[in-house]
Amino acid sequence: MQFSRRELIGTFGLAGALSAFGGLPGLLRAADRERIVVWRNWSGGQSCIPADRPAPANEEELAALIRSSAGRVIRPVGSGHSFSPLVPTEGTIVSLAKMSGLISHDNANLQAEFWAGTPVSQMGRPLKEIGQALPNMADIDYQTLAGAIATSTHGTGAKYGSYSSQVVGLRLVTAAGEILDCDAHGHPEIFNAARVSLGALGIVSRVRLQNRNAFRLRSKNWVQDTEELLEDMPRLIRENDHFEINSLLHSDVSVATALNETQETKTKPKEGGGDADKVNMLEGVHTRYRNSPRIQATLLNFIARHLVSFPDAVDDSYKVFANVRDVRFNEMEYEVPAEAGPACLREVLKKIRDQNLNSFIPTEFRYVKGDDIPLSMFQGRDTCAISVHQYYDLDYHNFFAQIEPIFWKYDGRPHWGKLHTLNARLLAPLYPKWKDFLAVREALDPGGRFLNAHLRSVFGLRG
Amino acid sequence: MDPYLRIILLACLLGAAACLGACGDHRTAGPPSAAAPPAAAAVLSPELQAVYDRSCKNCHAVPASGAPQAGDARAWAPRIAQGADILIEHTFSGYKSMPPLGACMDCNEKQYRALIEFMSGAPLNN
Repeated sequence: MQFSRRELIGTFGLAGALSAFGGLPGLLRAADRERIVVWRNWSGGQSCIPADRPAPANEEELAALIRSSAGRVIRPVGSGHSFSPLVPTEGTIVSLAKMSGLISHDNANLQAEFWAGTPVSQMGRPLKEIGQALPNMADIDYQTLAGAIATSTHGTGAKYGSYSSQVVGLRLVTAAGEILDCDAHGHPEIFNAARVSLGALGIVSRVRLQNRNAFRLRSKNWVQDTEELLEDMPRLIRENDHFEINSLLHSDVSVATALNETQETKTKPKEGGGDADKVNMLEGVHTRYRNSPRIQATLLNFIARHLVSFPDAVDDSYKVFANVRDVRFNEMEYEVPAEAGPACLREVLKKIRDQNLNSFIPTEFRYVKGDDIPLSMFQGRDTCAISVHQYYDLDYHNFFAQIEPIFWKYDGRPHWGKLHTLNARLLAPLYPKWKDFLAVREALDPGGRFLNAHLRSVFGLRG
Repeated sequence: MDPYLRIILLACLLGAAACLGACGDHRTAGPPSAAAPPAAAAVLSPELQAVYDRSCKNCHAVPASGAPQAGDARAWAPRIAQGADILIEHTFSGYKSMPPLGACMDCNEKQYRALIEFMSGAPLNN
């Protein structure tokens, strides 16, 4: 039974109501009060109080929602894993959580269609059951498929593009509430733009992916001098399917990770658990010895080389690609031309060490194949992706502000889902097909229904 | 080897265990007890079961995540003891490894309460 506050007071009087329901908390409970829900992203660095947060169950509900909320900004949300303010709005945040799962597949062409709200973490198993696999995956799989392609999310591997590059078809629900099927033959300009759209063209409801046959991977990790790894990088990326290094800040060493396809049938599962223990150790050394850089470096070098284990793993590909990240952080990532990667990382690490910057989460250094998508960070060039991180509870502004100019110097493009400070004036020259995208966006959404303040700044559009 | 470095390395070796221990896992809860008693059975509506499956389960049914596991009453007991207000605040804003909103982008407070009660097997009192 539920009572309104007015009913309670009218029936018992205020004192009686308080007494009958156990004081004010009881009264609030009886009146079924709920707190305001502040939307926050995974790191907690972005927040907003949206007018509503619906989750339509199908495309018809989604189209009706868009049509019925004219005049209000609508932003799609996946798993909230973007660090940049792509989602925040005082309007409507639409979740596709109820539009999840495998829709259909084509064994002859190794393609599969998923609902766009499907978490990437829930794609591996159903794909394996139909004999398929994503050719490459990011090192975390918390993202939804729509969120991953909207931001050109990627893994590592010089011969592999981002998730967006694997998209061969998609369905888009537009600002007018129309449902468009897009691929290389139907609405090809929209299709190409929508493969990396920041959610600014409409809401993608389903995605068809070009996959490959299911496969197994062997993961090998080792600790090595960072400079040796960078010197040897051309060979390492040539001889390994997927290769990356995570450099320990304030030290001389990195953890190298090589993933290669294997025919081994005996499974050696990845180590359970996340990375909290290792990150906590880095934090402990940094906190205690930050003011003694020589000691800090010596300790880190020694601990990484001798006290921390990084066991190999062999398993189905989707179980090897992804890691558990149970330490939250904020992240900035720039994509620089592949050949500039080692020099750029050297400069980033030198800056952190010379300035004794307050951060302890390793940098990440990966390779991604170029593509032809207008707003892709990998458009027209093979790329090296370099990421810096800050623990979620520490201020990232000062740290990132000192690193970001290094990325600019190397002609870097910021990852759309990660923190950066660029606006349209600075972004446009980085993208040869910038105007192509803007033209598609203007045609589909002239009223800016899908633009929040961040996207207006990114695209140089006034509110 | 530089004598200075030798001393540091020796200190490191002697202090490594303590260092690791001190750094400890202060952000994540310890792993659930293998012999944890089952919590009281609770039933979720089909809608909330779907939320549980797509959001909560990714951590609260994966022991290696460090999160208190669904049905592990012993792991949940100290959390429940903090009271509903704190648990709901941690759910909304995120807490240590727990992401804000528990990775459910459309849940409301009533649903969060039901999910916590389901996982902990204990009623949430204010």
